[in-house]
Amino acid sequence: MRVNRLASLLLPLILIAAIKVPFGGEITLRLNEPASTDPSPTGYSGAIFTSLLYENLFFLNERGEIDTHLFHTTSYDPQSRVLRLHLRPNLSFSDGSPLTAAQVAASLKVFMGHDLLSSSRLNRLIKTVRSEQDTVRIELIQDAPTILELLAAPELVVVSGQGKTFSGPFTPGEWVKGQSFQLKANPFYPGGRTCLDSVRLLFTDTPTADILLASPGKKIGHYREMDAGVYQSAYLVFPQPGNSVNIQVALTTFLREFFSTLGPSFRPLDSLISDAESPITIRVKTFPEAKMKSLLRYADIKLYALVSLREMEEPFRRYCEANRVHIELLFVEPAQLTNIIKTSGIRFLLIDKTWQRKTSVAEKVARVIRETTFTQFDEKYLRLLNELDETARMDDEKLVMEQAARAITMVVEDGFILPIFQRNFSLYVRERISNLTLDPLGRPRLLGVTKEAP
Amino acid sequence: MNRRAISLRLWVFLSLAPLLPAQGLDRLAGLTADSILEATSGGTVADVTIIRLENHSFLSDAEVQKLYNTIAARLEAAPSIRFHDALLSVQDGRGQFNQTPQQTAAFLVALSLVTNQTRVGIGSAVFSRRLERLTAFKYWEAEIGRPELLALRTLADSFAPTGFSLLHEVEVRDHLLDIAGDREPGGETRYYFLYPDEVEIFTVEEKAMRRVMALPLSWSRPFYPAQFPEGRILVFRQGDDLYLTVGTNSSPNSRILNRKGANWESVRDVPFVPFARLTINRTPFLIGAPYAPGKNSFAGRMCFLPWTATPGTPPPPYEKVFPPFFAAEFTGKDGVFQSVHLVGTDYLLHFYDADFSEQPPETERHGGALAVCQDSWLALSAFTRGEDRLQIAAIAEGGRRFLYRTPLPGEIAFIRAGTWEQHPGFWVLLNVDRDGTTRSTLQFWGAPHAG
Repeated sequence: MRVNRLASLLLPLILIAAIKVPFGGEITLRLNEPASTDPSPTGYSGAIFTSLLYENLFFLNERGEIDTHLFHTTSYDPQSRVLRLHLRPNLSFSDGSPLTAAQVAASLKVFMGHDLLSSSRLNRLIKTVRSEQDTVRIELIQDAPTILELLAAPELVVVSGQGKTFSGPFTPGEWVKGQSFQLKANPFYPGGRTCLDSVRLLFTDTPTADILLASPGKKIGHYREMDAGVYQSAYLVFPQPGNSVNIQVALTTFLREFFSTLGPSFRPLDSLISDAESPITIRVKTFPEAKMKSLLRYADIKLYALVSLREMEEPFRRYCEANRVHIELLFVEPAQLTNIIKTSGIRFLLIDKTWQRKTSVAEKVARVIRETTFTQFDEKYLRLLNELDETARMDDEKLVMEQAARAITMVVEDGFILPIFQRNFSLYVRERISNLTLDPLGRPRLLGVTKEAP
Repeated sequence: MNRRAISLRLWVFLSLAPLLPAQGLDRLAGLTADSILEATSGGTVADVTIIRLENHSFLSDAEVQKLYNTIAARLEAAPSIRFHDALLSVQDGRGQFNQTPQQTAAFLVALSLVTNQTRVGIGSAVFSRRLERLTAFKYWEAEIGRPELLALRTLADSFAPTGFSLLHEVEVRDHLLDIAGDREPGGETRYYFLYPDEVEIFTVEEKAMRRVMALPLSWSRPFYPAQFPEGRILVFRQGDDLYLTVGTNSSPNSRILNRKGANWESVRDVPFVPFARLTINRTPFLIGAPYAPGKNSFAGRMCFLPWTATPGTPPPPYEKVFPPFFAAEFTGKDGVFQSVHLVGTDYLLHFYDADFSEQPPETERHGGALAVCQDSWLALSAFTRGEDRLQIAAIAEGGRRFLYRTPLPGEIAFIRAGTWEQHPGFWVLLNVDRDGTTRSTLQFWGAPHAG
């Protein structure tokens, strides 16, 4: 039986020194506004927000090692295929209620019910999950010594089944809808109280946040640039069948040209993920300008877009006016999308996805399929997802790429999604903020962050 | 006219011409000390203290401090008086003094420095408490040249590293929070090492520490995990009983344990972290402060719990407001509470006298570690990163005179007063970065022997 003592539990992030780490202060972080405080780790903004309120069972530390704030030891017996996770004593949620092994086990079961690639991997491997006093007992279907790697999925977080209480470094404070959301330090956080007293999420561009995403290479005074490995891709989706193909092509052409006027950071996208990573290139059909305009002028198009693309609203209105094209642009919250598609019959939908370079190609392609097929998701796509998942588990990159290419081709041939633009981001951090590092997903780690007084 | 009659009069010397040829700072110090001695020596040995020091000359604060130290040294050496050095620091041309000694001194002295072209003049006035009047005023001048000042600056710090000596050093495991020592009735010394979840107990065999047992600590909710664990341990005796108090920044309650044979039993919990036991007005008190939960500093209040080991509900502790601080020590004299030295979260050294009146803090920043040994020595870390300095001041007379500075190749995590092989001194936990890994080393610095 292999017992791993997780040595980093109490290791301070910063050396204990004559000059002690200062506690206090608040930093601001520019994010998309979440729909609720429930864990929503999809998308970069959602992943950051979730990481502030909820604790992972396991995570990758700065040295790339699997680490945890919850367990003092883990033991895996390859004979019985049982993994035991021994919870540290006296852990609590943000309201002081006990954080128990039973709740950790329940959180794992909830995660396994999610529609994510990492969830399905665990589902195929885990036979039972139980709690025994301060221990979570996980029995596997087959020997998997690397099970901890799968438990380090960033979407796997500890949730309390009882009310609004949180396991992460911060806990919700005042939420001013459409403006800001203050998160306060959680004194019971298993990783140790944060140095900062609070983090304020800003949902608008003013005032300028202490941490924000922007195009790479910008010289913003008193900020330093960090490569978060983050990029955004946008797609035009046709949730309902029956559109005129010519209109679809005309609209695609119009949008690709519009976004290219917003600046060099908006590059045309010719794949379903990023051009650099994609195993195949999509040849996007476009029309000459005159044909495009004449088709759109009389088409009476209602274009829906996710609220995360709201920054395009004013430039898009001006671009339409300049080209004498009338396209009604309406914004919709992600949480309301499925409902609106069912009831209002959306025909043209512009959505974006924020990706992290380190997320696997298979995961990204699976997400595109799962989150853009809407009413057109059928057995064929389910089979496609299963095949992708099976291939991803084989750990053969060539095979994965082949399968991903097959999936992309099928999706594109079905004609309900076309790529529009891609945009890279860097994370900009105000110079007064110290000790900020990024996790493998490009999320800022705020535990040891301090902010100097101006 | 006898001496006594002379002492009743006001003596004033016209100050315009120096009485002796200019011979520098040393001469100035000697003349000033002699004139103070002359004014304060009489039939009985009287208590004398300097209460005021003002500098209007071209000397810097550091140079004025050195001049003062020389005067003080001569006065301390004089058998005809008992001199109490109450100077805490010199800042912006003004001396900051502990006011406690002046309440019982028979003579109070004020010094003032001025510039007369290229000369420094020093005026000294002596006030007699018994007579309630100024009994002496003298003025001396001396030529102070740049070469002399330069030599003073260079030489005055020569003795800084020589005072305390490293007597013991041992590598310890990570997260040592505190150390305390106790001498058993049989003569054996035991050391108690506080870690977040246990106390390790050591004896000494052939100049090396040997672990004899570990005492697990169990904490209960509410529990605040800390990024930077901190804690204090206190060991004290009451009659035949040995008590141990342990507190950390993860728990709002500290444990008090009593040794029964080979076992330790819990006596009670207290809502603060004890770090001193003092008698105030004949009542023993446990004194300490609560940590700000999960943080690396104490909250802004000190708690005083009348200590009784008898079971039953103890009275709630008295509380006194202080600024948030990293470390604090109480000092006494002949068993009477005298003062509090405290390094705040502003890294300034704060001083409170026996009435808890605060003197204006120094402007120089120090590190977060502080300790007092035998009510005579105050040790501080430096406001630096990477490397550190152990700075030690003499405080026996109520003042604060930094004498010794020893550079250390690491960063000081804590300083604690203690003994090693009967030598009094300071335990210093040093975090040293070696080959990319950090090692914790516990050092003992022994106090100099009296000459």
